[in-house]
Amino acid sequence: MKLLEVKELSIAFGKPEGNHLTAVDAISFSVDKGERLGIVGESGAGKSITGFSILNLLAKPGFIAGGNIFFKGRDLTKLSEDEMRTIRGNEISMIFQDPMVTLNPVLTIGEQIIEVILAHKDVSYDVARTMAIDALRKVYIPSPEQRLQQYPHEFSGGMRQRIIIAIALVTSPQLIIADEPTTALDVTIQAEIMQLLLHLCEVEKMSLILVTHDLGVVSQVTQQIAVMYAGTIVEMGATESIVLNPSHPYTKGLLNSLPEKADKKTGRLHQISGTMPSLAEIPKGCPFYDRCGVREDICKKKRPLLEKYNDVLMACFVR
Amino acid sequence: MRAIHLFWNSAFIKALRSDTVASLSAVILLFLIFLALFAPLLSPHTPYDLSTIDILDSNMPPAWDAKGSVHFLLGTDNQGRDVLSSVLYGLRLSVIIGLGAVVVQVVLGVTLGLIAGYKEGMIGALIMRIADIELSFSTYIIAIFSGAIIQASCGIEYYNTIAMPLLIGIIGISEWPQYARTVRAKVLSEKKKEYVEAARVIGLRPLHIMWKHILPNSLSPVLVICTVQVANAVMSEAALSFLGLGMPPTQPSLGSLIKDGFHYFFSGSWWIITFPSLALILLIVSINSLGDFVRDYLNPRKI
Repeated sequence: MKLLEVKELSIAFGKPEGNHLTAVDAISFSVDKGERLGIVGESGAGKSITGFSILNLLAKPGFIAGGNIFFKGRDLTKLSEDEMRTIRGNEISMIFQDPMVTLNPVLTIGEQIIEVILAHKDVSYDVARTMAIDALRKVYIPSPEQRLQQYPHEFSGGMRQRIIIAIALVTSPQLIIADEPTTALDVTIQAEIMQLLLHLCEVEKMSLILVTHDLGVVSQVTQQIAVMYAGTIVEMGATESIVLNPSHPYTKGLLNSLPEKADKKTGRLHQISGTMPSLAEIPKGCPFYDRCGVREDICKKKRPLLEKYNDVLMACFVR
Repeated sequence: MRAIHLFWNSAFIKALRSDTVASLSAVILLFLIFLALFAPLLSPHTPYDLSTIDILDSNMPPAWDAKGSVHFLLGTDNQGRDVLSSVLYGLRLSVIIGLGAVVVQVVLGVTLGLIAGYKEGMIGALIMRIADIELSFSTYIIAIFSGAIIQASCGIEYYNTIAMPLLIGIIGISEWPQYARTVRAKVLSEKKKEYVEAARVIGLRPLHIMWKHILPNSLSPVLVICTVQVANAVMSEAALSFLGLGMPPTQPSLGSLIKDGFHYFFSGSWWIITFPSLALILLIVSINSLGDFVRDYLNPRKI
């Protein structure tokens, strides 16, 4: 049994019975125990809300319009709010994008770590405090005993993100959803945080879902990649196959627009022309049709399905 | 000792010390509060003890006047009560009622505002509509109504025994919507912030998030309203007492003393009204200018 199995998950915004727009359309993926999956795509592709839907924390008016999310065999879409609360932060943790705003400014970081432990584990305050110190030590915060009494503003951005990682890991979850964990940090810190996250996942044998638009980060950390475009997965497979030998025209375009692939003579970066269709006007056929360089007539009429192609899964008619 | 040193050198106290008006009002306010706290020890007579009052001492001018007596530094009123002692006791009552009413306002207003902000929809709308309705009446109308109804239904005798807690309650109830509105607005903006989402992601209960995460982040505007409201509550109490709906003549507050003195003002006994009025003015002005200072200090957009 897979640790997490998402089947035909659809997410929509609006009224369930009335007008609504589908933001994520019947996507399926799974994560094994200890496996690391990267979800890649541009802004608005539906990556982040996929992450939030796993924790059943879609902001209104978003809702799960269909499909199932099986975590250790239980369907998370059918759990009550109370049951969900025992999973959030305990078995599945989440790390956010901007460490400057995800910590509460008026509470010490000690209080914030300890409250997660006390919310989920049946331990005394003193034990929770020791656990908090250990957690800070694991993310290499120096002199954790003193740091416990400090407020978020006394830490730098990189340190805050490490504290957030400590909060996410202190309950020893089996799965971590990291929503662009390094986007708000500067480049030197990015590598440091990613290394730390990777190291901790390996040591604690945790699974990771890394949501990002940074292909460079994903290729270093994950074993599997799912490329999302306009609410669907267009290509999914082992990281190596996708990064070294992309199949879908969108993935090819993404990899081609990396700075290393810039035009040798002019120094100009390649780009995928056009923009992603808005939720209100997603075409009946292939959503990438308008921007695709290899499109054919069939692409406009029919939606390609995710099917096996070489050693990956790909949703494209042009093979 | 270290704590005192830290306090003296804290940013807030430093800012206070560099502001002449604010530090002067702080000194005056501390002095008045000291007088109020130790009124029973400081005052030469007990104005509540009728057996110590002699009608022959009535309407005596202050001690520096030729007709005055050193026993009554600020003179006596029409019944022979020592004005200095009644002012000290009245100050004590006014300060207690002012602070008590603000505590009631804060507890009511902050709780209801927090609920209204966190639970939008039916409950929130209901609370805010009640607040709107209450705001459309003046504080005094509500206080006069409830005071008069209770006086009429309980009888004046019983009313006099519960006058102080009752005034605290009445003034408290009539001013909570201000807090509720401010807190609700702040909660609405705070709860969209990412740390609240992060708190939900780690599986905390909504009540816990509301109480421990959102509330502490919403309190700084409440602090500013509080300082101004203490002065307002003291004035409301004085106004009610002046109208005869506040403290009974047997336990005079500053307002009731002013009311008593008012009748003798034009017959030459100016001291009966002057000293309680001075005390009231000093109290209100010092609280208000300290409140202004706190507001400027806590303003994130200060220069």
